[in-house]
Amino acid sequence: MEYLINLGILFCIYGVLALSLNMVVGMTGLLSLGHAAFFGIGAYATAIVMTGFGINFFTSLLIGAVINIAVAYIVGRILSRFSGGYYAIVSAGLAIIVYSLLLNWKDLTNGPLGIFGIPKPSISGLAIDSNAAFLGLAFIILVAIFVLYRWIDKSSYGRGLKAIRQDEELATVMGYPVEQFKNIIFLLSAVVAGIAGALFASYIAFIDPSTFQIHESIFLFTIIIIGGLASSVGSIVGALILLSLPEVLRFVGLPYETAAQLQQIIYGLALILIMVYRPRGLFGKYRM
Amino acid sequence: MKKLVSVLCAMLALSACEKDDANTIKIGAVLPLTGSNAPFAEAIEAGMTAAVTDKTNTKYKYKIVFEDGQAQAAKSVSAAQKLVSADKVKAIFSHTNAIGRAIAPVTESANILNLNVTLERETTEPMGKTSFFQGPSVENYHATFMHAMKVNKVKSVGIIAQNVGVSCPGAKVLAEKLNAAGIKATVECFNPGERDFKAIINKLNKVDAYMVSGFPPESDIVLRALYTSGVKPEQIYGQAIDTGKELALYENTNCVTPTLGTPEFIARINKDYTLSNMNLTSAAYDLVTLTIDAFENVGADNMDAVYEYIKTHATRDCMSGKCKLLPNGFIVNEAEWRTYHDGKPVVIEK
Amino acid sequence: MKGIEITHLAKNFGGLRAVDDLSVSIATGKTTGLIGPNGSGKTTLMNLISGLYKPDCGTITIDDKTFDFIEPIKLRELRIARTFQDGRLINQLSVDDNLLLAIAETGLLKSLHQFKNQKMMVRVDATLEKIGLTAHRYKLAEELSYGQRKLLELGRALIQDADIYLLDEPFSGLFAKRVEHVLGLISELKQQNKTVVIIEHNMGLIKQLSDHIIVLDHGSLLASGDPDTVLQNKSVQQAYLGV
Repeated sequence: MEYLINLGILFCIYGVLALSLNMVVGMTGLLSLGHAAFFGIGAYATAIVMTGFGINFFTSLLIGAVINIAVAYIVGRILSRFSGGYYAIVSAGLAIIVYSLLLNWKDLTNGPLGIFGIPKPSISGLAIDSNAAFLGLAFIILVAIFVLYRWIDKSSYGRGLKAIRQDEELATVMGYPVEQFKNIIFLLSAVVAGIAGALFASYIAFIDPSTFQIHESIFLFTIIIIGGLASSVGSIVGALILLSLPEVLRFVGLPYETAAQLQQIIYGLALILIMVYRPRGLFGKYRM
Repeated sequence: MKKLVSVLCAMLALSACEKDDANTIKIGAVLPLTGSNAPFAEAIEAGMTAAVTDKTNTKYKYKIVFEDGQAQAAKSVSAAQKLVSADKVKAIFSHTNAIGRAIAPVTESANILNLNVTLERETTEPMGKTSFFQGPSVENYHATFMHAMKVNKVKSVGIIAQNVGVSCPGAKVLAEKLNAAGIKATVECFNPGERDFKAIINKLNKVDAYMVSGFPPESDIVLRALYTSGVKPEQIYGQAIDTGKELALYENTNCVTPTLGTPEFIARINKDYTLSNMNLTSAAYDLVTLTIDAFENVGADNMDAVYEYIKTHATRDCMSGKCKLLPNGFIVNEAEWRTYHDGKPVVIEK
Repeated sequence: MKGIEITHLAKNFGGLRAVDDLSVSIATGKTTGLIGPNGSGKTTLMNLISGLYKPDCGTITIDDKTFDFIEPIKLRELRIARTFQDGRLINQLSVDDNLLLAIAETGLLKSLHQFKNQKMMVRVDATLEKIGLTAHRYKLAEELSYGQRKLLELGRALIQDADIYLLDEPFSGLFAKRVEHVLGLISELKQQNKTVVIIEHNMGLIKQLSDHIIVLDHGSLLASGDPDTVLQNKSVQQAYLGV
C-alpha cells in the first residue's frame, strides 16, 4: 500500500508539473525547456527556508513563488525575443544556468551534497507526517492546479493565448496584448512548477542539484506530448502513464540479469507506439 | 486505464504471495542498473553476490533483489518502496550518499537496514538509527598523496576536481594541508558535463604536479587535455578508486588509491567481471557480510538487535582494509592508500 | 461613422516603393473599391491602415484623429475590422471561438474573469446565422472548406460591429452561390452606412458594390472617382485592364 501511496504522491507532483508546462507549451505555444529550473528553485526555496530558518511549508511556497516570479519575469523578457526552436534553446540555457548555480553556490545550497532532513508540512501544529496524509495534501494541490488550468482554458484569456499560439500578429490585430499575455502565463507556470518543487522537496526530504537538470525538462515534455498538448486531462494521464509504466515493468517477470535493461527497452517501445498511433498524444487537441 | 490498474494490482498481489521460503531473508538493492552509472552498480553487485556466495552453512537463505534506481532520488524512493511493500526485504543497499539519504525515510519507517557505499568523506552528520554507510578514509588519501609530494620534492600542485559529491570540498581541504606543509596548492573545480579544460589548465599555470579527482568521461578528458598541453605523464596523479584491472589510465602516470581486498579476492572478482571499481566491490562485500552475520547471530525478527549487533561488530578487519565505526554511524574503511606508478606500487619510505 | 484620410503616405521595402507619396480620401459611410494590378500597393495600403506596417512617412487620419502610425492593437478601439487575403483564422479553435476572439475582453484581468456568457453568445448566434455556419459552430476552423473559412473570417469582422471595414479580396476563390451570399452581407454593411474598403479584381462586383473607386499603380494614385468615370479612364484601362 505504501508503494502505491508513494506512486500516488509522485503522480500528483508530476501532474502539477505537467499542467504547468502545458500552460506555456500547449496553450501558448512557447517551447520552454527551462521548467526544470522553476521546479528546482521551488524545491530549494522550501528546503533552505524549512531547514535553515524553521519556516513552515506554506510560507516556503510563497517564498519560492516570489523567487520564481522574479526569475521568470527577467527570463521571460529575454525569451520574448525568440520563438520556436530558438526559444527552446534559450530556455534550455536557463535550466543549465540554474543547475550550475544550485551546484556551485555551496554556501546557499550545499552544492552537490544536497540538503537533507527537509521536514514535512504541518497545518496549525498538526504535522502531515504519514505518507497517506501527504498524498492527501498533494492531491488537493493537484486538484487546485487542475481547476486553475481549466479556469484559464475556458476564459477569454485562455482563448487569447491559443490565438497567440498560432498567429501572434492576428492576435494583436484582434486587440490582444501579446507580450503581456505571454509574460503572465509564463510567470504563472513558473509559480506552479515551483509548488511542485516544494512538494517534491518535502516528500523526498532530500534534494540535490542532479534532479533539476535539463533531462527533467525533457521528461516533462515527454509527459505532455504523450498525454496530449493543451489538454488538462492529458497532462494528468501523461504523468500517470510515464510514472507507472516503469513501475509496472518492475513486476514483469524478466530474467534478472537483463531486467533493468529490458525494462528500458519496453518503456521506449511503448512511447514510440503511442506516438505512431496517436501523434497528437492521447488527449491532445493538436499536433506540435 | 482500468486494465492497467488491475494488471498492476494483480502483479502486486502475486509478488506479495510469492512462495519464498519462510527461511529466506531478502536483501534489496537500489542501484543505477541502467544509465551512465551502471558500471558502479555492476561493481556493487559483484561484491554483494560474492558475500552471499561465501556465506555457507547459514541458518537462513539469503536472496538479493535488485531494482533500478537510475541514480535519481524519486525513482530510487519508488524502488525502495517496492522492495519494502512487495518483496518484504530486511535491508536495502544503495550507492552514493544522495540516494542513501533519499531512501532513509523509507527504511526508517519500515524499520529495516539502510546500507550504502559512498565514495565520500566520512560525514559528521548523524546517520540515523537504521543507516550504515561505508566509505574510504579521505584522511589516508590525503596523507599518502602529501607524502608522495614531499618525497618527489614537489613544490607546487594543481588539483582539478569534479563538482560531484565531496570531490571539490575535499580537494580544498587537501590544498589547505599542502599549503600548511609548504607546498603551494591551488584547486580548480569543474561541473559535470564540462568538456573544455584549457582555461582551467592555463589558470593552474605550470605547476610541478597535477592531481585529477573525478569520474569518467570528464576525468579521461582532463588527462588528455593535460597531455596535449605538454604536461609529462609522471607529473599527473589520478585519485583513483579503481584497482581492478588497471591502476593507471595512461602509461607513466601515477595513481593514488587504497588497497582494497586481498590479491585473491581481486583476482576472483576480475575473473568474473569486467568492472574496475574494487572500492565499491569490497565495501559492498563488507556490508553484506556484516549484515548476514547480524541476521545469523540475532535473527531477523528483532531489528533493534540487528542494529546493535552491527554497531558492536562494525569495527573489524574487513575485505576493504580496516573497517571502523565512527560515532555518527559511518563506517570508514581505513585501508592504506598507496601511490602507484604505471600500475606498480611505488615504495615510498615513510 | 468614420472616414479615412491618407496624406503623403509612403512605404518602402528595400529598394521597392510599395506605396509612393500617396494622398487619397476614403469617404465616410461609403463603399470604396480599391483596385490596381498585382503589386500596385493595395494590400500594403490596407496593412498600413491596419497597423501591420509602419509608414516611412505621411499620416493616416481616422475621423478626426491623425496618426504617424497606427498600432495594430488599437484597431478594435478605433472600430476598424479587417479581413485578410489568405483567410487568417485560428485553426485549432472552433468556429464559435474564432468569432468570440473578436468580441471578448482583451485586458488581462477582465479576460481572466470572462467566460462564454449570454450576451456574447447572442451575438455569436446572430453572426453564425448571417454567415450560415450555425451547423458547423463546434467544428475546428481547420476542418472547414475554403469557402466556409472565408465566410467565417468575414463573420469575425461583422461580429465586431465596426465603423470601418477593410476587406482584402473577400470574394476570391468562392463559387457563385457563396459570392451571392457575401455580396448580400456586404450590401447590408452599405445599408448601415458603414465605411467599407474592398480590394477586389472582379470588375463586375466592384461596379456593383462601390460608391467610389481608387486605382493604384506602382504605389501611386492613378485615378479616383465614381465607378463609371474611373473605369472608362484610358490610363486605367491601359494599366489595369490591359486595353
